[in-house]
Amino acid sequence: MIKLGYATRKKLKTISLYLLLVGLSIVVLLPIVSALLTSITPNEQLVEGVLIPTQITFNRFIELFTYSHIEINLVNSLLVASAVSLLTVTISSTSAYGLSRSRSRATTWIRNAIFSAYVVPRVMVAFSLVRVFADFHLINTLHGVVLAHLTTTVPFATLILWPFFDAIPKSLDEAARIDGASRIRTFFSIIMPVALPGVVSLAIFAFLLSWADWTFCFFLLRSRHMYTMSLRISDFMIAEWVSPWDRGLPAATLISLPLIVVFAFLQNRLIKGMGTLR
Amino acid sequence: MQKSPRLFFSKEIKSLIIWVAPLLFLLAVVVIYPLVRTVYLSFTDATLTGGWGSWIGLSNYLSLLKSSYFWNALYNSVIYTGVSVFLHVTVAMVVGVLLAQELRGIHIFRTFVLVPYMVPTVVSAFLFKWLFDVSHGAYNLLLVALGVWPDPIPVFGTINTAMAAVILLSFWRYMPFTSILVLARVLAVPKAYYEMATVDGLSSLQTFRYVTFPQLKGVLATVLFLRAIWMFGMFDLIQLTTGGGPIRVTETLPLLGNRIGFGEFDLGLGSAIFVIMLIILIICYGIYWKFFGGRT
Repeated sequence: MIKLGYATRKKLKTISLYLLLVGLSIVVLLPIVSALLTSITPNEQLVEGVLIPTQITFNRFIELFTYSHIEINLVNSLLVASAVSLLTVTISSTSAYGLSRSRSRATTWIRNAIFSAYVVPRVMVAFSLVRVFADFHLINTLHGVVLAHLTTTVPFATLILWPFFDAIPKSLDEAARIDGASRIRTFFSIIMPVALPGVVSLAIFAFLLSWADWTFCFFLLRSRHMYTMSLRISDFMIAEWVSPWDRGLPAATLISLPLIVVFAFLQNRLIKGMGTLR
Repeated sequence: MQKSPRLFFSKEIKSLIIWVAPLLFLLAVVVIYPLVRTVYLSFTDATLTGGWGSWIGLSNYLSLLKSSYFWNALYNSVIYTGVSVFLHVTVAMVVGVLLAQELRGIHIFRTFVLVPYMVPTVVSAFLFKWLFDVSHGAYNLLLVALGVWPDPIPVFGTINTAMAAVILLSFWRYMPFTSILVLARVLAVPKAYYEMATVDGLSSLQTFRYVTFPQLKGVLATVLFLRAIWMFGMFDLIQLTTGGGPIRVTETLPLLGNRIGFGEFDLGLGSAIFVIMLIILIICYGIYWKFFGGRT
């Protein structure tokens, strides 16, 4: 057997690690990259079966708007996700603050309740919501969907923000109170500015969760002009009189891009945040 | 400050209630009330169009226990959950450790790996349907070229391959996320541990076995538990790709509940399926709580 020097062995190890990483990336990225490429390849080249297009076309994206009027669904998605993001941050930051500053034993119970709500599969909540929402005339409305999305985003955001507020020293509250600030005032002008980075990334996260959801929309929305983007894409797959790939691929690209861009920027913070989740 | 364990409406708790009122209201109205109502409906003959239905006791549950559809769906749920969770947690452990290596440009690979989790479920389902399309699906053509099967197969529509295809899709989508959770935990392991391992002359495998793995146990238990629960309640990926078909080989409990409750308008029976799911989940939750309680 050939005995390799330490430096050679180390180099070999590095090379094999890189090979593994590249292989992993290919497996993970190939479906998305090929979808992206296909959605901008002209039909003639697709028929020839080229892998990397020499010409690009944005016709499919244009047709998505001119023929399928995807802008209606795009606006629906934006409205729902913005409302969810705003409400999630409001509700979960106030409750997380209250919980972190309370010494009551009820906090343990509330923590368990929040965790249970976070763990329950969405399909179960969505199924149960249909009859309840029918009573309140919330079926096929966007605010119904917003309310439904809050059931997943708020528990999650509260669980993340709670330790975040715990880390803000209580002496800050006390100093503010000695200066005569009310608790509400303390929260808005002293605590929130300190917590802002965490709150903002959670706002983005809630936006993305809502933007990507399909299950709740499937159960709660009925007509095409109320559909969100995700539901419209599944509609392309089965129900509409178009080639599913012609409309679906550009639509899938359109809905995925904002997520990928935002995640790429938040990546480091997300990994750290998950580390604290344990 | 005095502690008041018995006095329910102490000043302490009053101010807490004011802060968490919106949260509690949301949980009560949009989570607990609907779930309780589903439990109630499971004891009635309610239909999708009717009101509350009339009380029929346990007959929904009895007819489920006699129904082969139910046992088929339960079996599918267990297979789907078991295989996909086992597969992706084992692989995610390796990938997480791989991503924790200190190499130049490792950040790019970490971002890459998160991509499947970033795209919405509807997109991942759509992509896999497209890649395995019979006439021009790239993966199908590739597998034919490699000689895995002679002609393109509609994998989501073939009895023998549908479940495997759904599991593969779930693996592709959720393994990266789990591996990032593992990565986060590995990065939190103090560097001194690894230095000691080097001093003691441990090989890479030994280092993993005796240094990294013991640190990972906690996060793995939580991940396994949460993943198993969410896989058990998986609806969108399966509904979007196979819809439970062909001839129910991929019909898991949530899909059966949806089909009976909304497809066949038998809301009472559909609710009973979800209640059984809930009971199974509560039992799992209890087991998890007993062993790892309170560390979430």
